[in-house]
Amino acid sequence: MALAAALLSILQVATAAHTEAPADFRTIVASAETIARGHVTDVRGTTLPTGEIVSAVTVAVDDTLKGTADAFLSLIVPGGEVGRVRTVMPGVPRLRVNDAAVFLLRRGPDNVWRLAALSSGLYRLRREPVTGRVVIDPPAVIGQTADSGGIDRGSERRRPMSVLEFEALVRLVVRGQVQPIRRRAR
Amino acid sequence: MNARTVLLTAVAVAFVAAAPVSGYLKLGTLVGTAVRGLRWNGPVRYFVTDRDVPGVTAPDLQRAVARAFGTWGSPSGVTVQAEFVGFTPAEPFASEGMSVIGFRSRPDLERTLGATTFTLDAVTGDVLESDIFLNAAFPWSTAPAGEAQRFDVESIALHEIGHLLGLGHSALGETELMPGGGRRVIAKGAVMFPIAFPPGNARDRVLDPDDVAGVSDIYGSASRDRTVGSISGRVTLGGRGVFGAHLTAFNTTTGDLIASFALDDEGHFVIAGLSAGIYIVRAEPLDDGDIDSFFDTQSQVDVGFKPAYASRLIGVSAGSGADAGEIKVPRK
Amino acid sequence: MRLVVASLALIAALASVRAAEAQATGRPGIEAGFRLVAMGPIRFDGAPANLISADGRPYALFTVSNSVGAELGIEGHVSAPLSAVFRAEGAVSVAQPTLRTRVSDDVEGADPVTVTDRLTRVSLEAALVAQVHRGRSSAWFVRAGGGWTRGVTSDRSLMAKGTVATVGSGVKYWVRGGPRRRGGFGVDAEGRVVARWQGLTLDGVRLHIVPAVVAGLFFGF
Repeated sequence: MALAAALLSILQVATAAHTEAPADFRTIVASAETIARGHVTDVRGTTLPTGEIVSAVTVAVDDTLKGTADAFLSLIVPGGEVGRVRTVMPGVPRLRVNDAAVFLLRRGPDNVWRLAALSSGLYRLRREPVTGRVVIDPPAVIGQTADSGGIDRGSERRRPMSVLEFEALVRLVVRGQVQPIRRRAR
Repeated sequence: MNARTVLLTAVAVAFVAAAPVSGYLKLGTLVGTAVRGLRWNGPVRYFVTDRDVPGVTAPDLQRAVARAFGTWGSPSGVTVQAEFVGFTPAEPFASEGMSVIGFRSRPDLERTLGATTFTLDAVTGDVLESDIFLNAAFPWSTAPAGEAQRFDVESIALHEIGHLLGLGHSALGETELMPGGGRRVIAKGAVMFPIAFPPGNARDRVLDPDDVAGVSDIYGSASRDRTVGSISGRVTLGGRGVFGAHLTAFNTTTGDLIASFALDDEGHFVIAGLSAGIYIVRAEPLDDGDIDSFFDTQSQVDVGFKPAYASRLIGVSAGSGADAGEIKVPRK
Repeated sequence: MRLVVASLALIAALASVRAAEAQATGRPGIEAGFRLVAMGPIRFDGAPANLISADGRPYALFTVSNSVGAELGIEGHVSAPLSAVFRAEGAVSVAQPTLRTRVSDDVEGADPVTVTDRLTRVSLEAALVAQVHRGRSSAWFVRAGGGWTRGVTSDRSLMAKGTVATVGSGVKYWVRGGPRRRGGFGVDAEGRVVARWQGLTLDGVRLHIVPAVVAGLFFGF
């Protein structure tokens, strides 16, 4: 293969935070005080009194799935740009204007909204390259919240969901109606 | 994207197949339209917080961090330099111009053991500082063999220092859902896997071949490059390239597992840092975790397929590249 | 490969011309010829594709079952008498075995596959042949040799060197001439044990021992 010094990609790695044990979907939904679908209308960096640079993100709320939210809500995520200085925390989703997502939010000790469980509290809407439909990639452990066992990559049970499907799922989980799915024998 | 915006980026650069190529998911900086890989050209000068936590004193932490830096510099042909400057009352995450490693309480990061931040000059892309925070909300230990119910400082520091040195996450690991909810690691093949082993475990004090491939990619000498080779190829789904497919190269002789990703819309991938031998290459989707934990949010990572293998064994010799051809993955 | 075949054909042509002239002379002379070498398939263990679990136990991503298919190679040889009993032989052989790995039990449920690659293996060997029993037109012999082997993958992306040792025993039959005379030609057959150290394999084992059956033509000069 004759790749001549080609730049294959330019990607942000929002890697992480080294986690103890990522929460499952039900736990995150339960811990979220507000779950809303919306799109980002503004992102601006700011410095907290601790010296930490964060991004204040304004979201126009299109639908509220849990709790209450006004037409706009504001949350902060670690990392941001202030003047010539930018701070990045790998592992934290980077939000841009026009990003659309379902936001699972909880208030921090300063009473400001934050993503519940960082990247696990953000479900982005994306357009499928082939079909063009807007979908959300479901959480890895969806539907298995009362079960246990290995999580297969490429499992046929885990397919992109339409926004309506995802929202219905969130509402089911909120109401505690998700039924366990038995795993096949490994 | 604003051309002045500086991002933390992963960059994979491929060279001609006759030479070893970079394949590991790495952190980098986008300066204007050019990507600048994140690399410390001199020693990392770091401070350690002077704060004790139950079970770990500040000097304990400093020694564990020093060992972790030493571990990253231990592979043959790799040069990682770090210099402990002193203890400080400063806290990680604050932008004060010092690279600070230490414990801090962050109630909003209740499942995060540790994290690394970078403060960059948005114009030049220079790293001004990099902080590592270890969450004081968890129980910690520096006991030589680990300590039950406590997380091993050196293991977690090794992972975070990997980020500090410019490495992204590895996806070489398997997880399971715990009874009652939550995910945990079943097994893994890289310190840079994003989920830690449970408390009491000190296995992540040692680099795996995948980690060595990653650090060698950034800090390896030219002579080391001549001792390893690479595999390149393409992952396709229905004739279309698959962005974000996770590739694993398995050395049939040594058992080493080294991974990479398809990093363009054509599904091209490069797995580098491979010792000479015959390899099996496997492709799988990254659909069991937070894609944000690996890739840029702008990326359209394709996860709608099932795992598959390259159709032939691939020989890799030192100092050169091999072509795995096209790996056709089946649709979910 | 074509070069080897052409060389053997040339040897055969020369030998057929000279055989008739030389057969009546009294002392064994130089012999040359070619043989077909059939080696049985080998199954062997490979390294496991293991991750490591929290308790240190291996956790298989998938399992592999490795083998080298039965191979048919060609060997050209030249030998010279050292004494009435012993001959020194040089041989070059070429074979194209297929490395084959069955991948199964994928942790994510990927379909099992068999992945292969065809190697080209060239060996150079020096051997000592002792004709332990000589009849009028036949001789039993034992043969021991050693040398150098080199394997290359099908896309020539990997080459590995190793060493080879062989021990065998067989019979030579002179269609024209005999073991005590110069010239002539005949056929030989041999059972061999081939030991290879390193080279291209699918496991970490340094030594592989393979049985082989050898048969061919030889020509005296």
